[in-house]
Amino acid sequence: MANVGVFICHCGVNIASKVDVKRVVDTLKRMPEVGFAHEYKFMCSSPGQELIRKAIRDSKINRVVVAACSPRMHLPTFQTALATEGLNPYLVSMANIREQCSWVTDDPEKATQKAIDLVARQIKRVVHQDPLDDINVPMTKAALVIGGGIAGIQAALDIADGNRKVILVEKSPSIGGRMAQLDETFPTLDCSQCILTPKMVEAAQHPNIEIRVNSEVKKVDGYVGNFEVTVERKATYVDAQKCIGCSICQEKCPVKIVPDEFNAGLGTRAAIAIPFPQAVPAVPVIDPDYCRKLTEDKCGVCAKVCPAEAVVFDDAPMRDTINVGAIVVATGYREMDPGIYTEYGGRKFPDVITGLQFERLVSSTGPTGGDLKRPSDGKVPKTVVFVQCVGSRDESKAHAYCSGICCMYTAKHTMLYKHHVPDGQAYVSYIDVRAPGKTYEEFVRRAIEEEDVRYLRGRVAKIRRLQNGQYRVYTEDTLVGRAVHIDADMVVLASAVEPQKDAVGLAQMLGIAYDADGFYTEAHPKLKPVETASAGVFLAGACQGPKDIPASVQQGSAAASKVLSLFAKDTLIKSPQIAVVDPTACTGCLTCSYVCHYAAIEEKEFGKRQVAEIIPGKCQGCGACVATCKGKAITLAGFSDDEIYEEIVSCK
Amino acid sequence: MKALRKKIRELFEKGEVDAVLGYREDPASGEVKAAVFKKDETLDDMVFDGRCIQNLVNYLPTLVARYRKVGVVLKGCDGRSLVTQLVEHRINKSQIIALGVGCEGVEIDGKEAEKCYDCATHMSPIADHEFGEKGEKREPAFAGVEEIEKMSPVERWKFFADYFAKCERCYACRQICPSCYCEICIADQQEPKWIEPSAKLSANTMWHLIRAYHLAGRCADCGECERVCPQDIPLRLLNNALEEAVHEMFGVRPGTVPEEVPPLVVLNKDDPDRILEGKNE
Repeated sequence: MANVGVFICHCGVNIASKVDVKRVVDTLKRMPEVGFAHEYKFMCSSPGQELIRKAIRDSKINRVVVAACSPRMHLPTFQTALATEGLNPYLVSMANIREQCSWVTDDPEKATQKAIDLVARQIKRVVHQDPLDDINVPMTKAALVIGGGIAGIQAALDIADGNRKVILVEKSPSIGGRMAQLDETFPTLDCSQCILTPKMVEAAQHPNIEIRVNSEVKKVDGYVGNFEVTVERKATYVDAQKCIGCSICQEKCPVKIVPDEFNAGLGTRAAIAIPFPQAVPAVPVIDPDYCRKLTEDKCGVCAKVCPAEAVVFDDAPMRDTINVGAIVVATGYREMDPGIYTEYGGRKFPDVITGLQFERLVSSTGPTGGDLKRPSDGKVPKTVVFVQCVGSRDESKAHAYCSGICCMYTAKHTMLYKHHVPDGQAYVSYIDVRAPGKTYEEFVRRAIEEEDVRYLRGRVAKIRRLQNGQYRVYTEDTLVGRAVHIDADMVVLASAVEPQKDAVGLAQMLGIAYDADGFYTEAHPKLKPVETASAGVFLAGACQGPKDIPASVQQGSAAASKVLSLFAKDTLIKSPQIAVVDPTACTGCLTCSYVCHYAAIEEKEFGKRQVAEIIPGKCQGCGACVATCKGKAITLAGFSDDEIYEEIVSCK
Repeated sequence: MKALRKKIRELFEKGEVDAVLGYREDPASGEVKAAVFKKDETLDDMVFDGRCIQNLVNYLPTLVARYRKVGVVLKGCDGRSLVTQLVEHRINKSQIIALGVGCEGVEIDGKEAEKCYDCATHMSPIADHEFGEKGEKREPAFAGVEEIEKMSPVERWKFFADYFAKCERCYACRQICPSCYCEICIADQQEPKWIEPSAKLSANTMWHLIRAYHLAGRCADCGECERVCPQDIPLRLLNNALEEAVHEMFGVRPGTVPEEVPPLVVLNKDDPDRILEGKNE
């Protein structure tokens, strides 16, 4: 026999200022199901919980209704209170008399009446609630990290240090990501490569990390704790096991006209190449679009000179399936193509380059060996204009969002420029300077005050190429309110941070959400910054939104700690609120399997018939199958027809 | 007909079927009814003409449980019906030999059945062997639906209420429908009791609307429900209106394309989203 204990929360004045709590208690006490009713100022406090526990002990109540805030806030609190007293935690129900009543009802009389109705409904419902047991699902304690940039490397290292296996999948030939392309980093001006390469090497040498470069995720099946991921390794035409990384192939290759992606399109490289000297692994890859052996069946010089016989021209893509329990997505960003800004001549004028291209121009591993020369004629640029917010904060042309990193890297660029060309003059066209990080503002001031960089507040209208090879930059100085133009030798566009081209495809594969721009959406913008809507899938770095190196590293570590705490348990404890099929009522039409987003429904034999069966580990309890089953053969545990029906018919 | 009989004999001889579901004319009464023909039985009284109105697909789930392999004579609309049953895993195609016969329309009391005016296909969309004229696929006009859509909501409600009030809740419509096969029908459930069992207007309306919604995107318009209704309730109107709505939104007519999954249970990227776009009436 159900004996319901009812507890009404004042929530300070949040509820009690509108709802006559005492009257609610007195009214509900008269319901035959209710064996105990009480009110308290804060039910979620320790004394509040103790009230429930005491009533379970002394008044022998066996069902509990708490009328307070949303169950999303405190249901677990009260479930624990029940469990400590040995009562099944699923025998509690909450009535939301705050968000759904006191906060939205003006008239105290109406609010009180509504509160009585809301609680009465839960009393009717809770009587029909069944005890449920948590589901234990075994899990694979290995993680997949997608993306080998600094965020992915950090996540992989932290998980591996926690003594769990990690598979790090990177689609390019080397790990390192965007950070490997940078020259120096703000706000300390330390060399990017010098602080990154130790981490790259550590990842490569770590016994718990398996690096898979030239590889992409093609398919994701399964669920938290038990993902099955199909990874494809592209054909690289070089046997990574045999290659000794001597790079003689790269020197001897006669096809030296391949646009160099690592140098952001500046300069060319050979058709067989290691992307950059510190690449991990230092194994070259043949570009099948340019290689003469692969396109015309001629040449083959690389194979002849290779001392290790590592070149294999008959290589083919290879797929295999890996089993992991958690996935960290760290796919990073790409720099927006400034070509849409035709008024700036992006991609048309050779000396109008992007921020990333500038990094390569001043880098010692770049196309000029670290000498700052402009691409068109190799002249040292004496005047450079840095244009901010190209594609950012510009809804009419590209993106509404702020790319976050450009203010800082432009300040850094101006300093690098002055270090390369001490007698040169740098100008920055900006809207606002956004430098909120630690010592960031000081860094920008340093550029302005010590390096004499001229900051002009205003958006550039147009860039025109002059007869003398210079570029006239038309802008304005809104602080003095006049139009100005600068004749520059080179212009650097701080092009917007964009999600990777295939970001949406991967999100759909993983079942995670993404915003209108294509950045991945975290489970909660404040409280769950690295979690996603899919359990067991975590985010790190710029794939979630524009981010600088410190923030990417933080997220990498945060995601790793989430993975490690997931793996700290022996089995995965899942909510028992999942769909259950009654095989006697199931007709086996399997319409449910069509609507199931989690591939959690399989066919099983039942007597002479085929019926649907739900895999408890996979089911997320969304209820789509329940709604689609015309024969009402599926029940969502904790939301059975009985429970809902009683709740509805008790409405007056 | 000759070719059909010959093929069936051949199938029996080769052992490709154990039984054939078709239509038989009772020599005494002259009535045409569904019948199961077995190997050594005569096929002389097997017929196929305007009197073959029954949807034979309704009998298949029972027959495939009894026989290894069943041949079935199909009109166009029955073929659509079979497709819907295959998609819903009611029957396994490997147990069926579909014998599609070009249908020139069937009769009720000597008059062409109304459903035949709205025929989408004379030939079964799924057929291992075809006989007779294939005919052309057509878009049904559903003149009846057009007429009730012209009515004002009040008129329309009165129109249906007058019919629903007559319903005896005999459930003949449910029993005859190949797509109404729930193990426990929602109308029979006691706890909770979704639909009151007594035959009164509110409960009757509930019953017919639930049935129509459950058939949305699934009904192949075989018209059997309307034919067997003792109170002559124009049940096809409800089903046809929903068929039109689904067709308008998803471009799909149930059962006309083999293996096509009903659009209301799958989500495709380019599905229209009229509710979110606020374009629903």
